[in-house]
Amino acid sequence: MPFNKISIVLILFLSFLNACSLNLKKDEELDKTSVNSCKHSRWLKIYENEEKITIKITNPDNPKQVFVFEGSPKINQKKTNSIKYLVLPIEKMAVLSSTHIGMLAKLKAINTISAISNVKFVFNPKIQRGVKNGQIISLGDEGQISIDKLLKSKAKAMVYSAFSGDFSQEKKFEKLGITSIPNFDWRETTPLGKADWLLLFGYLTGKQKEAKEEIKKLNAIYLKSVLSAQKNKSTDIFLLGNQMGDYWYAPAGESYQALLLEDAGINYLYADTKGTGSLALPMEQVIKDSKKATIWLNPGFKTKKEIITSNPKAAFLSVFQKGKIYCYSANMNKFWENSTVQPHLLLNDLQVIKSTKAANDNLHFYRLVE
Amino acid sequence: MKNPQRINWLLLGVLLAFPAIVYFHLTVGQIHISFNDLCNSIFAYNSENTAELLAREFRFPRLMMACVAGAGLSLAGMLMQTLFNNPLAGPYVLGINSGASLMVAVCLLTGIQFFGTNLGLISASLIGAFAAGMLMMSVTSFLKSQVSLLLVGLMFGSFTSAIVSFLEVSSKAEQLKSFTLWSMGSLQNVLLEQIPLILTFFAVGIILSALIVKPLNLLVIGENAASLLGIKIKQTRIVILFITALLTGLITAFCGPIAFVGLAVPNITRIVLKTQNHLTLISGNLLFGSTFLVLCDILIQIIENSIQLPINVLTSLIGAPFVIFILIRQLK
Repeated sequence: MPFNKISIVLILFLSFLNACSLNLKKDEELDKTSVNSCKHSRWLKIYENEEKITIKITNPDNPKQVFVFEGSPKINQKKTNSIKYLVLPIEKMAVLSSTHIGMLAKLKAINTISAISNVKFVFNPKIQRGVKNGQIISLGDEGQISIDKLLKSKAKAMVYSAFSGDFSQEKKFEKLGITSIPNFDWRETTPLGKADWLLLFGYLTGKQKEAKEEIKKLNAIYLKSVLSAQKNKSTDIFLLGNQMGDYWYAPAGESYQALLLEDAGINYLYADTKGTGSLALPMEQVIKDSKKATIWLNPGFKTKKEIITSNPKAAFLSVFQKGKIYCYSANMNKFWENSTVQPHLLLNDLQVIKSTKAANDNLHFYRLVE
Repeated sequence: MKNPQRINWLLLGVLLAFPAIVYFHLTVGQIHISFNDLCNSIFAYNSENTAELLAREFRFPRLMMACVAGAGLSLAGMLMQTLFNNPLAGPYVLGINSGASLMVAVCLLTGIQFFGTNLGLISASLIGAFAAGMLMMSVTSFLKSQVSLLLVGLMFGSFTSAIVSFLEVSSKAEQLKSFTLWSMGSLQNVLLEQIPLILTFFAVGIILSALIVKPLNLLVIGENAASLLGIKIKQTRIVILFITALLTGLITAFCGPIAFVGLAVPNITRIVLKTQNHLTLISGNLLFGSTFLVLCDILIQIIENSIQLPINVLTSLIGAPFVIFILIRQLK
């Protein structure tokens, strides 16, 4: 009978709605009963109660996609598609970015690393030694990880950066009992937001107390540095970036870099532009705009000769001819590994450059390009 | 209207429009440059004046490079098409570009000092282009089908890409950065002081092409027939390969790989001019090739506020459908 069919469809639909609302309630309950430990991060949320830890990671490119992980010392729950369960602390993990190594080093949890992406991009001497003597395995680039090597590393989890979008091998690794965890620290727009990702590694390695303590210290010291920087604002105009192909790429006014410069009291040439990514500008535009710039940051090269080889027309920039150029490229690996967990040192470098235009004595990451 | 008259009118029309296109190219862009600035940048240059600096050091070299690259690649493409008697032949499709790119990759990714210089880069690019040309020439003696030749060219391209990828994996970060920037292709990196060198090589290519007009005209009727009419086939092949390698290598060294110009423009020229006289075809390719690339570059400058397109991408967007069109026409 038609009535019966309609009733069945209606009942099914209502049950579905009910199930959805129950899930929603569960989520709301979770948010009410426990507090998010990450105060500054835009993409990471961590809730902790006596039973379990819930980690929620939002995909910046698709905010509707939220990766949910639940962790506890022993897993009793059945597997679901929407939630992944982790046995915490994780004893062995693979990390695919230099920043991840820096964070684990900060927590003195280097011994949990059993595999990395490529030793070419590592600054930490312990990891370099580990790779050399075979204790730590080099897996290769994020998109081309060898499953055999990964299994050999005995990693139970893999933290990846998803630089090139989705992590295609995630499902395969899951079948092998290896949980893939995305890390979007590089998509944060504030230095303290980036540093919050230290908490992720804290919870994964069972060092959440240490991580919280570090974050507390970092926040205090960073905010103190910002206050001092704001008292002494720069009159110099700073140019950032370099030419790649046909365009000059510079951080947009609402990006992480631009906000870092603002925190350092620096007068950035494109501070008033919109966007959190990069600006792509014709070189001619940059030549015209940067007439009054006196300091050029982050050209991506160690020497002026290298800059000219890569972009011969940089010689026409007045800042190249008359100004000073600084870059962190003297030791790129050190910068990528440590600057996220030491944003105060990065800020300090910018302040030193801003106020004294010093050479290299008081600089931690940056070096004068000569 | 009779054919020769029609050709003359067409060439004259494009020739008359060319100065206007050139003027538009020099003045269009994010920063307006007036006629006075252009004149001053040549006759009364003041480097402190931004507009004059931009005109002299940026716009003129960019325009010259667009003209040379468009004309040179079109000429090289026309020569290849005549040599292989195949409308699908061209420096890009037949792997000449790939040979040049491979050698540039070897230079930039292995860090050999000599190749770090301008001369080193051009030499490497020329050697790569010439070697690829020789390889394709030897392959043609075994293959009868034009499609097979095309496939060999594409396979050679894939093979060189694989070697380049291998070199990229084992290179240092700085070397990789230099090569990636080069491979994006650009008309903007050429400096004013490099223009005389580029024009000299370019002129050699044109003069040599003009010297082999007669053999080129006869090659159209087939190598055997041309040989019976007294053409030294082997010598002609070597000269054609040399010119193609010279022009392709030169342009690839300075601009990076630019796709499809060498394939599309010679075909358009043949379709428009409807002639097999190579003196007319050479003039047509030089004129249409440079006009085409200058127009592409103008388009890039007009839309760059909303979309940033590298020159290589735009030429591929226009050229790839054209290759499909020719293939379909051939299969019919």
